[in-house]
Amino acid sequence: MKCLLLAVLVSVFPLAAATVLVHGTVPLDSLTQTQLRNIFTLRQTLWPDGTPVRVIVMPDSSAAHQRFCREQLRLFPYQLNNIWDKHSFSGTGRRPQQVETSSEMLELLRTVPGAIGYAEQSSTDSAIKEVRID
Amino acid sequence: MTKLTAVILLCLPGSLSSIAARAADSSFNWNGFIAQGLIRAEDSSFVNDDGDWSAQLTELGLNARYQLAPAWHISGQTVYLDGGNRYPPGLRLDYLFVDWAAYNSEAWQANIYLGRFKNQHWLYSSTRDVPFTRPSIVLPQSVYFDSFRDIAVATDGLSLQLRHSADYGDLTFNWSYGTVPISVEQSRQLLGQQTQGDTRMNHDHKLSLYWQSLHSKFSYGFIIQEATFDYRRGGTELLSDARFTSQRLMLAARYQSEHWELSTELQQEVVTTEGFFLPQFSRKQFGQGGYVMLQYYYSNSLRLFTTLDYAVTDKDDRQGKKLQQMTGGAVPAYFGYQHTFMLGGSIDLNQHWRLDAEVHWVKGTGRLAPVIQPDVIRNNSEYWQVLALQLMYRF
Repeated sequence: MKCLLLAVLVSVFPLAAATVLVHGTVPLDSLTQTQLRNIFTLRQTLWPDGTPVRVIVMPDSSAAHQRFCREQLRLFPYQLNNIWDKHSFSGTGRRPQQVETSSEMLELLRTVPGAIGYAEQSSTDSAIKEVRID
Repeated sequence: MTKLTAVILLCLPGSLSSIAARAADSSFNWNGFIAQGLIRAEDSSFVNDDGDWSAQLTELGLNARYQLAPAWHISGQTVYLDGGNRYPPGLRLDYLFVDWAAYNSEAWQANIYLGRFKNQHWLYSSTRDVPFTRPSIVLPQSVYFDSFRDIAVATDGLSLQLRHSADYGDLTFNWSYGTVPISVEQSRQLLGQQTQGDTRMNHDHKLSLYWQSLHSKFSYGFIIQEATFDYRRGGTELLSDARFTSQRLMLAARYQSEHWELSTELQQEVVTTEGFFLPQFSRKQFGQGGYVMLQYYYSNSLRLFTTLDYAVTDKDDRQGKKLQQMTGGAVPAYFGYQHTFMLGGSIDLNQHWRLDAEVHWVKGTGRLAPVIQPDVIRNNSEYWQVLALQLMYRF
């Protein structure tokens, strides 16, 4: 009964989309969905101030990564993997840094200039900035 | 528990984070792969001369990318390949180039590459030697002809990639111009093992345009390319100096859904030969081919795939009858085409290890080296098969 109730609640009130987070010095407060996709597919590699973009991701098996890919990027994890492999093995880009846990994700977002990643919840850390997706 | 173990366990999470932070922030990063397989191409010289099982399915690679400045990078990769008769075995400088992100904004990105860069024009051309990144161990020969691997895989010269994102979707334009050094082994593999002369490429010019409409599962590509080669005959051989020109037109399309991926590339190649057999010899041949590949992602770790591949060396002689007639029966008709049906599977054992297995049923020998003077002694069967199994590791 509890499971049924939960399923109904989830279908009526879907879980919020993953929050996009960046290092505090990244000079942007919002990104378009196209821009976000360009960043995670390694097309856009520099922030407007010229700082290199450092993409941080969770493993394919992570539910957070799967939700982020589908909802924010509208891509499947295998598509992203293929794009990253193509860049990293033909020399035209670097594969995103992979972390295993959300605390590791937050740690890198806090310490690596130009970092961009995502989390299931907002961060209260002043060194990390939440970015609005328009 | 010893004090040392306790200290290590307590420090580990912090250490891993700081290692990851250093890696993410580093100007230098590197990757590599090791793959070894077993392959058998019965009744053909595709892999070896006896058609028996062979371990000549070895691919090793090590690459690095260094950030010179935010918009400037240098990238390089060396590979060791052994594919038996498929291409000359040995160590190769796969690519080494300077990458300048000349313009990088939300809507437009432009990169200029100078040096030896990979062929970015076909769907799988830039990483055809990287086992994790290609869909099958042996790619469809109509487009990814192994004997032309060294000529098609990279170019020494200048390349431009221009990308644009707008309401109508993403556009990617690639242009490249340069040459490819051709070794004596490569020349003999293409023209015939008895040839004694040198082959030189004059130029290789490629252009491609890819479009994916916004949030669509489909993408489409259009590719044109031209290359010219000169052959200078060896001192005592009876062959003549020659010029070969290859002009290829290609169409590509891909559909990607959650569990299915369908890809296809179609090509028409005009090969002009002037000289070689005789000084006044002249021939213009329209070859055609293409493949359709279907991949099914059963789960994150298991993938099944199948391909239909079709290639003819002369579109006006699809059965090879004219070829047989022209050579007085010396070259059988089945050298005029090569059609393949392939089935395979791939399993990721973890994020570093993968195992691939596939079987090819082939009709015809039109995509077997050498091209100009075919090996009719070893390839005396119209129907042949390829079985391949490969274990790969990435780091």
